Amino acid sequence: MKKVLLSIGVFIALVLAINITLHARDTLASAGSDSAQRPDLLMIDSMKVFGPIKRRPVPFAHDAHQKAVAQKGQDCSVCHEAKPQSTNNELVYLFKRLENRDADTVRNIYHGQCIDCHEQTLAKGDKSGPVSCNACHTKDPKYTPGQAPMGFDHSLHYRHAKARDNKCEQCHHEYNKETEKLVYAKGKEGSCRYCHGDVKVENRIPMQAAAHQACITCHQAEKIKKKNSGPIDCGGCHDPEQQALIAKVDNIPRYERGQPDAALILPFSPDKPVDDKNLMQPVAFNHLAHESTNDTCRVCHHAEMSACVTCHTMKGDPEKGDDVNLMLAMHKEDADQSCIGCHKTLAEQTACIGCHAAMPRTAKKDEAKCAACHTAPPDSGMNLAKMDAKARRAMAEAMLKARPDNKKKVATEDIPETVTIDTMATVPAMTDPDLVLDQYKEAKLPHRKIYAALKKGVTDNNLAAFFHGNETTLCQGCHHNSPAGTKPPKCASCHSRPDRAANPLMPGLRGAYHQQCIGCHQVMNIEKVGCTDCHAKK
Amino acid sequence: MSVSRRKFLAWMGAAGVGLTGVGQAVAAGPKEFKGYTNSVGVLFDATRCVGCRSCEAACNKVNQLPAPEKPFDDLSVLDEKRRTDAESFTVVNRYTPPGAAKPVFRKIQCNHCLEPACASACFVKAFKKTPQGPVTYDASVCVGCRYCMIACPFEIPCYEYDKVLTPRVTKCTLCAPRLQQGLLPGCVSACPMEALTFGKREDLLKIAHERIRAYPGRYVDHVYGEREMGGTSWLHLSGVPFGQIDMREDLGTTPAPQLTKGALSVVPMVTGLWPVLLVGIYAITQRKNKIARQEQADAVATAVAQTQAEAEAKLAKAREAAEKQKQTAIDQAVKKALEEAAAEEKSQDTEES
Repeated sequence: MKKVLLSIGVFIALVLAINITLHARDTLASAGSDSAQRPDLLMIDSMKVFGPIKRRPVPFAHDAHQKAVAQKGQDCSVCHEAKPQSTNNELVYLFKRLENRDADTVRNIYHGQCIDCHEQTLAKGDKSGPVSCNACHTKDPKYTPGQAPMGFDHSLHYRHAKARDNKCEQCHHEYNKETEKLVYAKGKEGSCRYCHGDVKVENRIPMQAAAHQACITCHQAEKIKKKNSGPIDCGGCHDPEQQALIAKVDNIPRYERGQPDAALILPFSPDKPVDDKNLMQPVAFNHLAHESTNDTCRVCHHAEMSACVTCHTMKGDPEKGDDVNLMLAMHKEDADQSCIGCHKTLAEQTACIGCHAAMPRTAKKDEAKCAACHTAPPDSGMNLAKMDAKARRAMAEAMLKARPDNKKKVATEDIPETVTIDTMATVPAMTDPDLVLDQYKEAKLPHRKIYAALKKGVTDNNLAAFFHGNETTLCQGCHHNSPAGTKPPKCASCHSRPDRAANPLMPGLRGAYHQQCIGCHQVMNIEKVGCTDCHAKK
Repeated sequence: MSVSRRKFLAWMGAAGVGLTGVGQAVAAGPKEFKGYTNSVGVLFDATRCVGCRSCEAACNKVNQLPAPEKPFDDLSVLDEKRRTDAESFTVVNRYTPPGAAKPVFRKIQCNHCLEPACASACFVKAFKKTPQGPVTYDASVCVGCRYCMIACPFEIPCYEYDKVLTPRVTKCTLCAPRLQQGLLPGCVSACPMEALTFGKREDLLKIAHERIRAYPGRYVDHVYGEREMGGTSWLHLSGVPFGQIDMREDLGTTPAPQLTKGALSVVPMVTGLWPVLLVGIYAITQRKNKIARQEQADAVATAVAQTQAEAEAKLAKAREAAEKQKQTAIDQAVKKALEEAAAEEKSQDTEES
């Protein structure tokens, strides 16, 4: 009897527990999903520095408050204190305090100041914020935070540099350990993120704090001087709509930081030259071209502004560069910063993906592809091992200029205007006694038009133009596995059987056509993917 | 030796557990069935399927099924999720997984398991896994219990509920009759995208893994059906997690028959043992009853004898007492008579005197 009672008890407890969990899940889900996002919304959870928070975080619309304060003729000092020793009125981005002293003090600051102000505003008959506990500590906030990341691209950098009269020291600094001060080091400027990471490390504040402190303090000072300045509200930087309004400068002059126009990526460590003719050919890297096509230097120089080989040594170093050697740093397919990784990502653009998505990953690398970057020095008598840095740079420039002219054009008359695919009708093996597969007429392929569309995608893009210099490579997008040229073999040469191929890894002719055409149309967002888009009904 | 009921049950329980344990160990051992060699199957590649429903139309045609409500080139049927029914052995459904640029299509039909649950559930052996690959159905022996429909983890077999006299269970046959004629299954023959590849299962597995290797970004690194439920003759490739196209990911790799094999293997033993056991118990009970009856009879006899003796003794005593009483009465009467006679004599004497 006792056992029975016990199992009933356990059952009831289980049912209750499941109910409660489900309920909790429902409420949690409803809190996040239904509410809209706002770029200025902050969740006040300041108490978490003192341990687990007891009440729900408070959604706080910063820009709405900033606007309301401004309307009253007040400024940021209503909510934020200035740093005591600051010369430029730098604010502390905590609410009404210089530091998080203890839980009671912080709680009282929020409760006292927020409710006080809301009550006073209410008393005046103005629109105001909540004054009751649950109205602030709400379980279903109307809005959730939604800040679009803000980037500092070349255009913004140029505008800032121009506005500050190229005084780099106003933003760029490094830390001097001896004097314990931030100092400016000419020629060693880098990205903020090289030092300011996601979290505070030693005395380096996180990127978020550093960016807000540096940007807003300066913007505010400019605003007081009635000068044209950047935003001081959240939305100005973090609202995607307002981001789109930020002026873009075309033809940005080059940064002056001593970088090369062309760099020679050597098959050995630059300070330990190896004189061996059997080494891989060097790569002349067009630094200048890459500067203008990337938004920031950080796209490639992801950890510091120095040559790749500084961290990614020839053999890899566990101490630096994550033990990734130079070869991998240049070729790693799944890395954003490697040459091949970045180029592969770029090949996923709509204009490129049609051909590139169909390319299988081959175990064997194509030697011709290696040679696109690894070119021989123009003068075979030159010895890389015996050159100094200056001579290597000069040689890289010479190599870029002397790149073999592989720009083979395809004459328009060599490109058939239309191709009629009617092979199916002529293949007797296609007839299936139970299935009549002749509901559709032949397909007429606007062959020349397709070629022109592919060519346009290539000419609009410097990277693509370089790798598709020989225009017959474009033909190889569809006429894959066949030698480059204007007379590729017929599809049926390989896809010999209509229904399925003798080689099970190769589709039959009908499958090959449909996979090729529809597969490409799908990824290139070309609407024509239905049967009657290509075939008329019989 | 006396055996209590509790002890007896404990022994039986232990024996049962032991037996099932042995059954499982055998199942998991080297006898694992990896499918018939050279059996055929079909590889479905969801990244190729464009949802044209040619396979449905072909299936309908080769199996001589009734015409559907909406024609096969009406793609509006894809707006809802369908399943196989008595009149359609295969259907294609459209899914829009989160984050996917284009819809994903998935064809549903019998997966022709290597060790089918339907066949293991069927007690008249209407379902059979043929060494060629197809799981076939024999309507002539089917009794219509529909256990197969409950057993199938893919919810494939359907039932002709509208046929009153000759209802059959229906499902994809892998076009077994067409395979005999050297033709491809109807759906495979009709697919313009070659999203369906027919071949030996071993070859299809190689093709599937080769596609994953050659296009790592295109596929989820899993061939559905390679090991699901012990493996199926139909194999599936997808670019999105299989759960997102309504394919069960909780099936595990154990074939359905093995899940019930342990328990069911005990059945013959139990059915064999039970008569012996029951007859034994019956005999023991009978004997026990017989002895009890005998003992009872003896006891009764003894009791009767004893009572009788006692009664007789009592009677004798009573008789004796009565005798005695009688004697006493006689004696007294004699005495009295003698006294009376003496007195009379005396009075006579006196009178006389």
